[in-house]
Amino acid sequence: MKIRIHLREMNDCVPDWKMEDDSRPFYGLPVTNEKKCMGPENELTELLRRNRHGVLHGQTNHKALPAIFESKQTQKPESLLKCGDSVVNSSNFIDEEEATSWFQYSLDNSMDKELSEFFYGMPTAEIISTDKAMKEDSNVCTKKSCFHPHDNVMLSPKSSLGDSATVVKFSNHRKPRKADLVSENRKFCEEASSSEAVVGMADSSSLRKILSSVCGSNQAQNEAEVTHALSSVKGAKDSLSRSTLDHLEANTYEPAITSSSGGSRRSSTKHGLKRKGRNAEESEGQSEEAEYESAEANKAAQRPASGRRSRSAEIHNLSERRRRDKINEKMRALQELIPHCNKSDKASMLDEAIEYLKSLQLQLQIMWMGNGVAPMLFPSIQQYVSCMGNAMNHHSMTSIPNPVQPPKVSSDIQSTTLGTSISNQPHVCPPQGPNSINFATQMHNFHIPEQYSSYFGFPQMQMPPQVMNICTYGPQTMQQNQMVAAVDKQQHTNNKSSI
Amino acid sequence: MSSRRSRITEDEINELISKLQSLLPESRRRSLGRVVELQASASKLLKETCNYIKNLHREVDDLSERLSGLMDNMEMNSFEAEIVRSLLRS
Repeated sequence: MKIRIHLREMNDCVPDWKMEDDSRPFYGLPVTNEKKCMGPENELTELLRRNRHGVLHGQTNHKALPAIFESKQTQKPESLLKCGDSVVNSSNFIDEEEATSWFQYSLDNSMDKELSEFFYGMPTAEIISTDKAMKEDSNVCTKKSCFHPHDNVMLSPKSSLGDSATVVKFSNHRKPRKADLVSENRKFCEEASSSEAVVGMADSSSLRKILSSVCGSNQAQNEAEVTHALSSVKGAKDSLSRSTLDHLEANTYEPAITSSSGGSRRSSTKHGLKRKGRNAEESEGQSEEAEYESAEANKAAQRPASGRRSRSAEIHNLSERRRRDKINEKMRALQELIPHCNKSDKASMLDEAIEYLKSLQLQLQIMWMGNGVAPMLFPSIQQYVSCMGNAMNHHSMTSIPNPVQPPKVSSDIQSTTLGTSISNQPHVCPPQGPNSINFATQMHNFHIPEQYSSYFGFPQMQMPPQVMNICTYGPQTMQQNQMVAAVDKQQHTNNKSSI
Repeated sequence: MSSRRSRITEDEINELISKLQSLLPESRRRSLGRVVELQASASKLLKETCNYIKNLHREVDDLSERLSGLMDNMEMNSFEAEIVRSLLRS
């Protein structure tokens, strides 16, 4: 591959290129402009040109480009060190553009046309930037003269748009104005966006160096614009590059803003351009983010006007949102706890939670009862008592307030349920005192008495007073009652068995 | 219209929240007239509910363990086992 030839040898390879005649005048471009530092410039421009040709004539180089870029990067600091500000600027621009072009090349062949489009935006920007960097009429003339072959070169891949753009840009060369550059950058961004150029910034450090050096230069504005244009193209789909370029652009913008005459407006336009370019290039979500950022930027601009009110409202909104978020989070946690909960709205969720809580409590009471019943049914009162004690203690540990609660809370329940429960249930004394009334309801619900009745028919009569005692008395009394009931039952079972 | 609808749902939600609060074994300060202090905001209440449900779950696990132990001790065909099984089934 021709591109793989070492940089120094590129000049030798020029004749191998098809567009020799076109390349030569351009080849002279950096020579005439950058008189201080020729070597790297030449190489860079040579590379850039060759890249362009490569684009025009099909992609043969894209694999080799990263290698070249790397080699270029090693030379870039040198060039930066050697050359002066203007030269550095131009070299930087060329580096950047070449870097981007090289990265462009690393893309698929399918993006040939896009690359060519991108490309033919690049040299114009390059030319403009270099032009502005130099601010020399002679340079302008040379650039103009050199620009023509670029037109010829660029026309082939993309005629119409390129012509108008290049011509416009060319005409703007005369009096490089910031507005022109901005418009050019806009066009540039549009072109790049239309081409959907994907530039991967493999190594943004080099650019960082370049741009940082650029920041300190006199032509900071131009550079900022160019870098902005470049960044808008480069940062298409690379978040890293975008972030770095953000920093860079922020840095570049600051001097630019301070030094520019219409600073604020231009910065806003720059931001808008940057965001517009980004929006066009990036995905929709990212574009929305950028738009949101721009909206925030506008908001920031408007903030001083209605500062306090909006700020307090913002604070209120924020706190409200946080509170709502907390509540939603807790609701989600609750939803997870509740089994088979497919409801999404709050009211039904709360309903489910309440029902589930009730059912859980019931289940627990039944289990306690079972725990108490099983040992209680053993013909051993002491065992029963100990189990009762354990159950009571255990249960009381978990629901200490309940003993206080049920007698008062469920007094009405007592009246309604006790009658029915008492009639139906051969009441095995509930192990849990506090939940005696609930237990009564449970018994009623669960038809346990049928089984009990066969075994404990007798205690039915005795249950009501005991139940009522349970309801009215405290846990200890309940325990006593239960013990009594147990004893009674024991007697009954003994009687039965005896019979 | 929408405000009215939102208000209604707000009321519903408040009612549900109060119901939930009543279910929770909260430590309420009680006077003669059974004054209930509504200290909890919605988020606190929800958090309490979650914790309570977790506690109940743990308790159920505990009890089921104990019951299974008891069932093992009891005779399989005794009426106690029948009772306990019926209890658990329901």
